[in-house]
Amino acid sequence: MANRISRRHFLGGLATVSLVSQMPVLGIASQHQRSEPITRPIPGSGEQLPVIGMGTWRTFNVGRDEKLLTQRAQVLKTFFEYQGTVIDSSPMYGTAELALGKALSKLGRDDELFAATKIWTSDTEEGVKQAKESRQLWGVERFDLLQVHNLVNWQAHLETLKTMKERGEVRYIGITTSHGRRLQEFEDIMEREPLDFVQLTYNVLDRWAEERLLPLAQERGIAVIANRPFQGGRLFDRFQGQPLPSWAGDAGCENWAEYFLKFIVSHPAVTCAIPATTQVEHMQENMGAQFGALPDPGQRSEMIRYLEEL
Amino acid sequence: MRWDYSLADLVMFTPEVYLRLFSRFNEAAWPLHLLALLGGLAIPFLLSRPLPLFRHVAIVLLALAWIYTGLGFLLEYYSPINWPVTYFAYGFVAQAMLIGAVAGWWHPVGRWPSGGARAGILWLLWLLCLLGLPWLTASAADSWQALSLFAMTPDVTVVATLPVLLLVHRRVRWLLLLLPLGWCFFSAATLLALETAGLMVVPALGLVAGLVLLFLPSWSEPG
Ligand SMILES: NC(=O)c1ccc[n+]([C@@H]2O[C@H](COP(=O)([O-])OP(=O)(O)OC[C@H]3O[C@@H](n4cnc5c(N)ncnc54)[C@H](OP(=O)(O)O)[C@@H]3O)[C@@H](O)[C@H]2O)c1
Repeated sequence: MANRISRRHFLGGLATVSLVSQMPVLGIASQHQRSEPITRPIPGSGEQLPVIGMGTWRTFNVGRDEKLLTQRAQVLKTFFEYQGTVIDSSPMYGTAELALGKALSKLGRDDELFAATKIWTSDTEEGVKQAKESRQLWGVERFDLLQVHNLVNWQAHLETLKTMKERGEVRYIGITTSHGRRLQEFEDIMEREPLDFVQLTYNVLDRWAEERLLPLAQERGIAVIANRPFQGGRLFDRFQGQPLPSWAGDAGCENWAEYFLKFIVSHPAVTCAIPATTQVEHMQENMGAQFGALPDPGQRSEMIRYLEEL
Repeated sequence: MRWDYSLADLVMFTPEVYLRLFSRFNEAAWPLHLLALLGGLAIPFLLSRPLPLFRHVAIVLLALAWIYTGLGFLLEYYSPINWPVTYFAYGFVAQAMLIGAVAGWWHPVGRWPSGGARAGILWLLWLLCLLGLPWLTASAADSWQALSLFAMTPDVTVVATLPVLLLVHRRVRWLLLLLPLGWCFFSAATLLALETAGLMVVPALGLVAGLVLLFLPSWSEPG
């Protein structure tokens, strides 16, 4: 990715000019393409990552449906236009990796990609095969990040991943959980193992990670990816009909998507959030969260209080 | 432990992708629909004939309906987006064999009643499955191309099989109800989680009817 970033910056001016001329949505979108996204360093290497990535659970599992494959490629194109890089998937997500691979080859944007997937099997040998299969599906030479999904057979897979990293077959390794599953075990692994990344659920309502996991990640120099940033969409179901607080603009939030995402990425331990969407318009809203101001600690508390009162 | 699941977190695809399976499959399968419809209409006629050979033909048609649904819709279209469906796809083929073995040979299916209330109810159910239920997916997708036809798509095929199973001797019927009940449970739970309550009607109906069928004596006519 270090190469990718410098290459991207080198080509930055040129790309911006050509991108702007192809823009589907002018105005805010082109402004965002020109401005620098908010980034965070991966503690282990210092490499900068934009704070908004993309998840693919449910949203990219479209089978071989050509119409939807084309539409999802459009969603991915929007993601790259807003300077997104981190994409997260898993062999568990049905045909999501296949859809991603097709979209990536159609768009030809893999130099901007930070490719993250997972190993999800109870069989150790199968884990190695899975990583190879995922590489083929995505059409990438190697993954930037491989994670053990939901701690399934983590002891064995983590050994595999460490060996792969030593051989240069993957750049970073990590583990994932969600919904507050197996937290104690997760914490123990974070304490003992040489992880580059952890992925866990963190959003404005699910804040259990603040107690132990996020401080531990900071202490141990582990990057954090926040999954389920919208509680799988439930945050919109609950709050979208309500007005934003009058001070939302001061906290850098123009809409609910920015409110939810900026809350997450303003936590000092969080490296990036990975919202998932099937819609170009939603992608545009979500990517807006990696530009402009972020809420300060006082505003973060207000953000929680406001939702609790609603 | 702080588990915080909603049922919706357990399905791995969106309603749009699910409903488009039907239109995509229908487009690819055309004009087999005509055969499926003709075969479907023929089954009660064949079952009502006194000569056992006709009833055997009806059972073969029913078994083919299960095989085509399993290998076509389930394996080719549905299983890539929902991996547990792979097992059901092969299960449908196994069920076809079982229908052939049990209702065709071991305890041959009885005759479809030729008159009276029972005949009326069975015909009504059959036509509902053949011509009425397929419109539920079409109306949810807002496109007639998303019809879910008997012998092509699973929920309707499973539910349409139940009236035929009513003509099988109760002693062996339970064997033929295991997979239909399993499928109806799986499909109803999936559609519930997908928050497509309207579509859940078919497998939910199948589940209730299947359970009732475990206890009802055969409705077949002697001869
Ligand atoms: N254990 C694990 O490793 C694990 C577990 C869970 C999740 N994850 C990862 O984290 C990613 C994100 O989590 P998630 O997909 O569960 O849920 P999420 O990102 O919290 O929510 C996705 C839902 O939010 C809706 N949405 C997105 N942007 C929106 C907007 N601007 N306005 C209104 N609605 C919007 C989407 O609907 P539309 O399509 O209509 O936009 C979708 O239904 C996953 O995709 C996956 O990559 C990993």
